[in-house]
Amino acid sequence: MLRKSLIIMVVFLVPLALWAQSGDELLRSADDIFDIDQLYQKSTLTVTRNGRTQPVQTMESYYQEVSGESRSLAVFLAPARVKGTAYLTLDNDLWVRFGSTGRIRKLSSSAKKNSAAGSDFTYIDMGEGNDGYSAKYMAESGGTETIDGMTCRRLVLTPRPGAEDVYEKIVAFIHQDSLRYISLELWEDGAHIKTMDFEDYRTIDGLDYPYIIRMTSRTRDSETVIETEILELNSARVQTNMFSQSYLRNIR
Amino acid sequence: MKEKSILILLIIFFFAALVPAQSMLVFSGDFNTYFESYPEDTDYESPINPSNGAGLNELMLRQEALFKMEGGNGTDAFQFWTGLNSYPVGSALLAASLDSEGLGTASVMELNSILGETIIGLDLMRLSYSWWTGNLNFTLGRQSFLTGYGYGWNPMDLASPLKDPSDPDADLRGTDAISVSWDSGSNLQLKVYSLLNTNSSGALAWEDVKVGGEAGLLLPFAEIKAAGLWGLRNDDAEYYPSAVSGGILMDILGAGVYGEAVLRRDGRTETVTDTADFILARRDGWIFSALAGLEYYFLNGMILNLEYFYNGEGMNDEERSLYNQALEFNSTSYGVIPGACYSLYRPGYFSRQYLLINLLYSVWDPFQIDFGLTCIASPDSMALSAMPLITIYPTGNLSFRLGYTGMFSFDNGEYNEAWLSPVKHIISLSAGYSF
Repeated sequence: MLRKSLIIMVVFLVPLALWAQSGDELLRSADDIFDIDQLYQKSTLTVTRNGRTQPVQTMESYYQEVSGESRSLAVFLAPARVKGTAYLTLDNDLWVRFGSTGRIRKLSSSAKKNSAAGSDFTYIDMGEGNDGYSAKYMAESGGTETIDGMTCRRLVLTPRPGAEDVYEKIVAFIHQDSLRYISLELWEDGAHIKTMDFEDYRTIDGLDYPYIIRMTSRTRDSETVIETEILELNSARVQTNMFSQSYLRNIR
Repeated sequence: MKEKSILILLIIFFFAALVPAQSMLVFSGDFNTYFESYPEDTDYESPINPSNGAGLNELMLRQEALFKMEGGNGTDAFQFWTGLNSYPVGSALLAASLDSEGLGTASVMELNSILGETIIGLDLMRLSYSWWTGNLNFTLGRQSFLTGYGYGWNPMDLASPLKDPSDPDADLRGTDAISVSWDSGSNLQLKVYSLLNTNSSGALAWEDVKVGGEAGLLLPFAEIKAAGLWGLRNDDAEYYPSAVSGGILMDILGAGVYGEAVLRRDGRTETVTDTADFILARRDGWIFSALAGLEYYFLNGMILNLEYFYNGEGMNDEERSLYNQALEFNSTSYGVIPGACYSLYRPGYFSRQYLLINLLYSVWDPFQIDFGLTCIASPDSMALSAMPLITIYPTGNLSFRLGYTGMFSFDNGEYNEAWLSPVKHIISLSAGYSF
């Protein structure tokens, strides 16, 4: 009887364990787009609220990974009113440089959950790509779904114990063949609050990268699109000294 | 002294203009026009404005332009900011309160000219060249040293003009210096600097040299800063006395909780002495000031700042009473109030204790509209300033502001800043263009 029970447990639990493992592996594979040592990006950020498009914001982003630590710097170039505003992220710490005064300030964790530049992205959303989702979330496979004609693996992501600045839950849709992120449903307080879609994948130096990232709010009539204009991997424009408060102070 | 400053700045400008010639220069700036109405039922008379000597009117027009020319290529940077301002002579009195070096304006004019009843001023806000060698950064010229965590006040800041707590985002003029900073890129920053031209000496002398330093350390639970400034000269009222200071910022339950403290050797300003003709004298001894504050971002986007400021350089009850007597004495004896006496009237720094609450909420439909409210109370002198402000950004370049400032005295016997002010209510409408 005992032997029969063990056989039943092995038959049912081993595939379950393998299934769970494949969720994490799948997430890590999709995170390959974040496996970048150095990157320069120029992009536009467009917010459309209640059908009305806000002034387009242009920003330059610099990213570097040093000894496992992610460093990023986003500098706003336009419109004139926000020019010089910059965000420096060193791992989980975020500093803002106010364009009008040049003042620098470390932001509290409550600030990181707020809208970045009036968009549907939070500061956390902006920095999430630094380490990929697998760094903060565990994935459980949730079957397959078809999105825009693409067969996608559905993963349910829950925060790793002790992970900071996380959503309560993320439902990720990853293209079954290319392992590209297609869509993320972001959940908070038991509700699906935003959807992040990844579009217009292009291959740059062997890396698949979404040139359009669209965040759609489900709590208000609002959508934000980040569209990449220039992307340079291992760009010489990225300098180590950029990821410092002294550089932030001298941004133009 | 003025000639020496201009000469040094010209040399820096020449040097800075040559080096980044291969870099792309970027031009930007702002134009702002302010209409200010002072709907008083008095004649703007108060102890600091007897017989309305400042010539305040019901409606005043003020214009400010800030031009920025900046360049750099990632390994060097050049900054040149200059401000051109015009405002009625009368409003100089209101702006004088935050002057760092005597009567003038908060940003300290480089050049000024009076045309009729209008003052035209030129400010040189920044003129610096920076370059990096690895993690080392060298900066030469007029640069900002503003540091600290406070929203309205930064007592730990040792080398900047005073920040106006009612307009803490206003540009502050930089300080002439050479600085070297080292940044580990993650958790440690060090800076040493030497200030130039900070006193009224006519010649370069060893006792004019001031050296300062600042260290910033990022710990898992807090960010900590410590700073110090040291100089030999201590024989007159100077704006950058020797001092040691520190600050801390912690994240507690999502809120930014911060504190700053400073110990200054002698005060930066004078105070009225209990003498027959109310002579002004510099505060001496070590003076302690401190700030505690909290910043929180609500999920709906509202931002809250709460601060308590203990201003060791402010006036206590007795000193405010003496100040009032000094104003009356000068007014009746000489018919004018000396500039040095005017400059002691510094709203936001006048009393010993202050509380500040600031709320900011933005809506983004149909375009960005910011609703702000700042209240500054002085519990020891029983004064309150309330400043609601609506800012509309119809495009990425234009902004319109509608604001009100009310100054209320709850006990005139305290001779507080609201009671002294010739203007108790200000309604302002401004338009701005950024390019």
